Amino acid sequence: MEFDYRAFLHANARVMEMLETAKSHADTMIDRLPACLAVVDENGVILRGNEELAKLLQLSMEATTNKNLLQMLNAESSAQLSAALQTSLKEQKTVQLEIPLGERDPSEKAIRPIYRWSLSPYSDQPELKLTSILASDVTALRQMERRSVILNDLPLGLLSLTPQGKVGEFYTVYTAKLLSSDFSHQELEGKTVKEVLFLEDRNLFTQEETDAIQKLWSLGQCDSKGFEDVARALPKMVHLPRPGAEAKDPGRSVRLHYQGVFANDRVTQVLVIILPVPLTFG
Amino acid sequence: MSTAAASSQDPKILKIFENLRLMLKKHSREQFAGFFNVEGVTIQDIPSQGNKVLGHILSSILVQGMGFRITLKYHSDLAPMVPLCVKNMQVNPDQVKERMIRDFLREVANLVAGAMRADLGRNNVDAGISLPMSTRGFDEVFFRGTSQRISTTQTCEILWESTRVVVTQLVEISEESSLDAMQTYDPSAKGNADDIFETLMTTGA
Repeated sequence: MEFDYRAFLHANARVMEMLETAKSHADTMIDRLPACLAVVDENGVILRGNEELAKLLQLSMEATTNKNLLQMLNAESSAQLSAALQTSLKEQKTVQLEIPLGERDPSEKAIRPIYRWSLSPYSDQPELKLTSILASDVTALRQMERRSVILNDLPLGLLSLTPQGKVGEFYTVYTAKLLSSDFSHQELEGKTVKEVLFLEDRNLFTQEETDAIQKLWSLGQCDSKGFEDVARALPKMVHLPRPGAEAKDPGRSVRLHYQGVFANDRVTQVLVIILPVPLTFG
Repeated sequence: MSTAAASSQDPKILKIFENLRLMLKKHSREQFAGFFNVEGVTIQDIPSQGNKVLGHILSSILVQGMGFRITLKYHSDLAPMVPLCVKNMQVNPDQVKERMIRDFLREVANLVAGAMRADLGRNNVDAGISLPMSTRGFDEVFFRGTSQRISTTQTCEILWESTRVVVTQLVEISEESSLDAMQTYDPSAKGNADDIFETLMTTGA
């Protein structure tokens, strides 16, 4: 039987088309990665960049090729990234660092974007001295952390309640102190409002307040108007035990303020702001 | 088959390399201009760029015979190819997609390889061509070159208005005499257009 060259070539063409398509999919995946990706040589010259990197450098994706990444950053960032690049190559290990981009604002008013860079040697062919770099914007995260630290030290209590009326998260160190020293952070989460805020053995609630507290268990169904009605009726001041005090001690008073957090006009959580009152009952 | 004893610097080999370079430039310019139906296409030698990325996309094809192999590559960015596609396809620039440019560059590689094969045949050198393949220009970084003692890499650029396509040709000779006939290659000799057609038909490309 004669060898069918035409069929042989068609089969090969088909296989090559499949390979090209598969590679094209892989390339597209890298191109559209929601983080900056670059493969650079030992001098920091970009050999392959993706769309996010192009956006960061304000270039088209293909224009990033053969540009020196280090020269496109400010001197301070460039020096840091260059040192990380050399360390990664020399020690053949992944190096991670955070670098603020853009020029420093002398007045410190402008926020400089912060990127987290992860540099890994391209170990497949070490003789090429290539490094793959992944960078993502962590500005919002770092800002949130900074705010969180400030929030944490505020001299008031702040906790969130789930729509089921249970303690979700609390945001200040002072919260546990105000509620009761008996609760550790872990213990507080998941407790009901009746266990931590509205202690019946220390408070005499009106019927309206009791009804409102009861409604905290079904706030998930509430819209903003419904929440306002419940919040208006909730107790504005409660008495909580003082750390280390006898059971008969009247405890301390705290003021409460309720703030609803909404999504699609439905309560997703309630923030309870707890303010110490410099008066002791009894 | 005798073992290659010559080196890349032997006058005979240098002459063959020079003629292959002329053949590449002739066909690259002619096929590029013919395929895109444009005038004013020029081609010039440029220094070898090593394993640099020479364009966003890359089309490659092999021309291979007994004792030699020629690897042809066409490197280009996308943006400079857009005006050519617009002219060729009668479309708006925003309708030009990467896939379209890849197809064009793949076809140029295929046509040049076909013309080279026909030219080699006219000089009594039998050769076959592979199917053209299109990848990202980044892949050039990993191209391992050759282990052949007799080899050369030739680089030139095709220019038309703002369009620039870099062409690289790696010639590897494992059998010293395999391309001897190319010493007398005449780049000005007119080939029969049917030769290329026949080449493409017989390879199924």
